[in-house]
Amino acid sequence: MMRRLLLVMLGIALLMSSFVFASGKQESSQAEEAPTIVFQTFLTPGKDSPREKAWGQIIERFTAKTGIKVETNIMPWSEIDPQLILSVQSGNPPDVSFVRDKSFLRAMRANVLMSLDDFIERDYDESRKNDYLLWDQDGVYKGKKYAFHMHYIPVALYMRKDLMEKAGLEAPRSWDEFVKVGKALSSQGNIAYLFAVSPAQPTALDYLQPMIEGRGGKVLTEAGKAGFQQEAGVETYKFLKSLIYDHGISPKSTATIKYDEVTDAFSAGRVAMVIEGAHRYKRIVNALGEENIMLARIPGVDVSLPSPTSVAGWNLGIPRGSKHPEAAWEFIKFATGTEAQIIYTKVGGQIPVLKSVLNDQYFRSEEGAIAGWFVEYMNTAGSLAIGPPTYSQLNELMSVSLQEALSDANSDVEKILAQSAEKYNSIVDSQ
Amino acid sequence: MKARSSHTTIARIGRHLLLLGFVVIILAPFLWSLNTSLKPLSEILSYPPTLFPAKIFLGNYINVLSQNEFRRFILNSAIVTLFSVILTLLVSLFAGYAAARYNFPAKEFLMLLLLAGMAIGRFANVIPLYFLAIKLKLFDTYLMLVLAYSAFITPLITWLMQSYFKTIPVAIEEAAKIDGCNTWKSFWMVVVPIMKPPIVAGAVITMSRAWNEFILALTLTRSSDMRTLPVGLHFFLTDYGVEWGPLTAASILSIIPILIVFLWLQRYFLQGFTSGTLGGS
Repeated sequence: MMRRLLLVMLGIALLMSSFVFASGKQESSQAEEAPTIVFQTFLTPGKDSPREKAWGQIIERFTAKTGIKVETNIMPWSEIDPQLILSVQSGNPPDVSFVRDKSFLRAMRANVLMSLDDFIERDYDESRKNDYLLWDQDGVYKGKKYAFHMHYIPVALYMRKDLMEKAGLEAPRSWDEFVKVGKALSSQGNIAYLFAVSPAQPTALDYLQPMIEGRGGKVLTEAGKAGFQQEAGVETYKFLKSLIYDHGISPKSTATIKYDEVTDAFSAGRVAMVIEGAHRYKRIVNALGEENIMLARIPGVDVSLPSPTSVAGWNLGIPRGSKHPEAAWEFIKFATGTEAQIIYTKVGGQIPVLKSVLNDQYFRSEEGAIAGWFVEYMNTAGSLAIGPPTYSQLNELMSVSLQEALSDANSDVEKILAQSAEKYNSIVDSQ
Repeated sequence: MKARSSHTTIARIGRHLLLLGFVVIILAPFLWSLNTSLKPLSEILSYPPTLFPAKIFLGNYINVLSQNEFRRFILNSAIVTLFSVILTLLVSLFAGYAAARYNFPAKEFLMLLLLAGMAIGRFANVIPLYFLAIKLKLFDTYLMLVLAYSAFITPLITWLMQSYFKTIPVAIEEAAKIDGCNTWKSFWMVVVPIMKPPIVAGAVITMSRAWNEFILALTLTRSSDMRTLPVGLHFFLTDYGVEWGPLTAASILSIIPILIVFLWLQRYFLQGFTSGTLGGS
């Protein structure tokens, strides 16, 4: 019996070996006319989702135009940055890679990207540079440019249009109006406003940055030290706390809620207002219907001065040690150029990085109006999402301190923030 | 007497309730995943959540199974798991036999060293293994995963085998030799057939480890053609949000092979564990 079992196992193994060797990667002996570049991404080009469809088209057009083939390394989005550092340090990098902008400085500290200045100087004139929405801020480290945004993710206030209309409400422009609208929505039995606090998926900075900057403060000082414990930060924390304990607009459970749960709750129609990124707009519309969603700028301290939107996104960069830097540069140039950006906006539903894209008829259509609205918001009040090398520690500290402040009606916000600032500064000093 | 009997009954009921509670705790996440996998997105997100699907929805399973990559992930996991099981069992059988039957210098020390190696977590080994794979030109190959998985689990299985070998009387092998078998032949023809329980236990342990392993599979492979199932499941956690329906459907599908094997071999598995570790040591 045992012998038979072993024989069966060996038989299966032999069968599978033949498959393994047959399907293994074979080094082509034929000389390639144009190089094949390796692109590290978290999206599978050509698949069903809007962004993946768009990438399929972009790569197809790039290859048709340049003859350069693109092979993809696909990995979960949260693993892109650590795997990039590892691959560069082992001398086995891809030719082009996505780099999360919030991890950009960490990547630069690990010295994993090559400067693009020589390519830019050779290929870009001033008009091309001016076409980028945030040219001076994007992918710049110590005066040199290392990466280009592929798309932007600004945040905005998402509201349930049907509930607002039913209650005869208009989008709030100031935080005072926000409280009034929230109370009116709550009185009708809704959870008026939900925000993600749980450190299990720390994203508090996404909405804290615009709220603090809208009050005239800064999350970090120019020197990279904590600035969130100052007046604007304290006011923001106290305001969020008042939404739970004074106004009953947000449930106490918000202190334990994760980002994905907030999106899910809003998509399921259980919440009336959230602050959310542009990248999840299509997902929410698919769940609730376009007719039930409205967007507004994040309210400010005054009706005439809304808070800025913090702008995040994914960069494209060339890792050090890339085997085909020239072809990789051609790829970045194409992907962030007008043709590809129009595809990424129209098919992928993303917010473009070029001003010239806005001239396309698409932005005058109903479908493109949302993207145009986001670009306008970003263009007039956009602030790049902060991404210090200690981003993950900062984000986690902010979530933990906010959770502590919200968990108790009598919490001492000043003290909590001062302690967090001290911890953060010691992290910065130790690096 | 009566009081003692009722006391025993209460204790038994208590024990059963405790076990029942334990089973519920263990099964609840699985059943909730199964429940979620059979709902459309609108029902998954509805509040309050429904205990059972309003109508059985197979769309999530169809979605997952219609993806070429997902089928490829399953195949890759199957290949890596099968070879890891074979390699681990072969090495462990020989090593366990040698440790149980032969005396050699520093045997105890070597066996302890083998076990001590397991105390170093996989995470600590990820970076060195990555560099090793690049140096050996085994990066992004099945062979690297098979070697890594086997290396991590072989110490435990070797100990399991050694313990069980010790329970087999040497007289059986001596009798085989009198009947004309050499050591090699008596090992395969006489001893190994008796080793069915620890072999099955070792196979099941190795299989579940290799089938579920994530961090090495993520780090030591790169191309989509080489990704395994646990890495594939992570693709349902997107920056758009979690795709609950496909994720739970894929998770349920990924459990099925392990479940079938375990149910098929559970008798030997338990026997292998109890005889090998408790009875034999």
